[in-house]
Amino acid sequence: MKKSAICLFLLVVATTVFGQQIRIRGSVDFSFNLANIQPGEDYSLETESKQDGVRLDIKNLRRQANWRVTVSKSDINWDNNVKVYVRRTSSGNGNGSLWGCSNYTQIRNMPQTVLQGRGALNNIYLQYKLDGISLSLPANTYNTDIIYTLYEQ
Amino acid sequence: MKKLSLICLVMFLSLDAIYAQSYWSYDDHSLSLQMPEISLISVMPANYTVNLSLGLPDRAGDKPGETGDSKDDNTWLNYSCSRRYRGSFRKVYAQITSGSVPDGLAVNLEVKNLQRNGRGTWGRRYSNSITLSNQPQVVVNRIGGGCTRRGTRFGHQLIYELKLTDIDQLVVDDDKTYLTITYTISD
Repeated sequence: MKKSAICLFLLVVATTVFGQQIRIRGSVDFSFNLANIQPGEDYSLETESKQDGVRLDIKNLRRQANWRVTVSKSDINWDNNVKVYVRRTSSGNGNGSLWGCSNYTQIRNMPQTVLQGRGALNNIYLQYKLDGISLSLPANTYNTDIIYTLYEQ
Repeated sequence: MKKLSLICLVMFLSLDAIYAQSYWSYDDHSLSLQMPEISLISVMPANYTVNLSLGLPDRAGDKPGETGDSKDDNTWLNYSCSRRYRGSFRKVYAQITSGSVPDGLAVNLEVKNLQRNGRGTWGRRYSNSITLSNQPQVVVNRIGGGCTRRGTRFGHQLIYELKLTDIDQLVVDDDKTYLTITYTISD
């Protein structure tokens, strides 16, 4: 029994240690208030997040393994008139390299490949843009989850 | 028991091989957008003073009449509004908040509909004309989420007119009478 427990523990540890991993740090909150608008005006249709609001790390890969990352969104409470875009504002640190996503790409509910690369990288900064902001949107707090999936190839 | 241990050992040893195949991991973060309810209103051009005067009669026996000086159409009402889903439409109220119209006179207000499109759901004028008083009166209604756009020639044109209502009550005891007209946007 004890041996089995040890084996299972090792299995769990090994899964954590050896599995390639994508890690996201940060979140994005767009907020509007009276300071953003004057009487008679509408909101600016587009708005951007900070350039370094979200960081993406890719680690625990086999040596110089090729990889790709897909992005999608899972709407909790989102208005379809508002489109979400992402781009990377840095190439990250580490021995790896990457390509793609230097221009804004629309995030849809279906996953699509946005980044490809080789080797481990840290601190790939992501910036977001919303398009379709308007007073016509009912006043509310809208939420969606942005999902990144790493595929080691 | 030995069998289970053996399975675990084999799996552990083969993990590197397992992960060397095409496998995946994922992570996510939240993205939120906060859109507040707002109601903003202004009269354009800013700091403009409407001057109205009753035209003097040209001949003895005539009563003070309506001339170009008794009318002003140089101001526009601009507003921006957002509301909750299925929330109530907004209205604009007008009232005199300081000063009073001299006896025998009235100040009429005509609010035009938009001549140039705004964005979203802008309002409609409520009536052809009202006589301003110190009680709030609706001048624009059915404002949804939207805006008029900003500046003169956008939004609702405001036309003020000074009218003689009763010459018997007309007493001139001062050169000018100052009024403050306040516009309020609310449910």
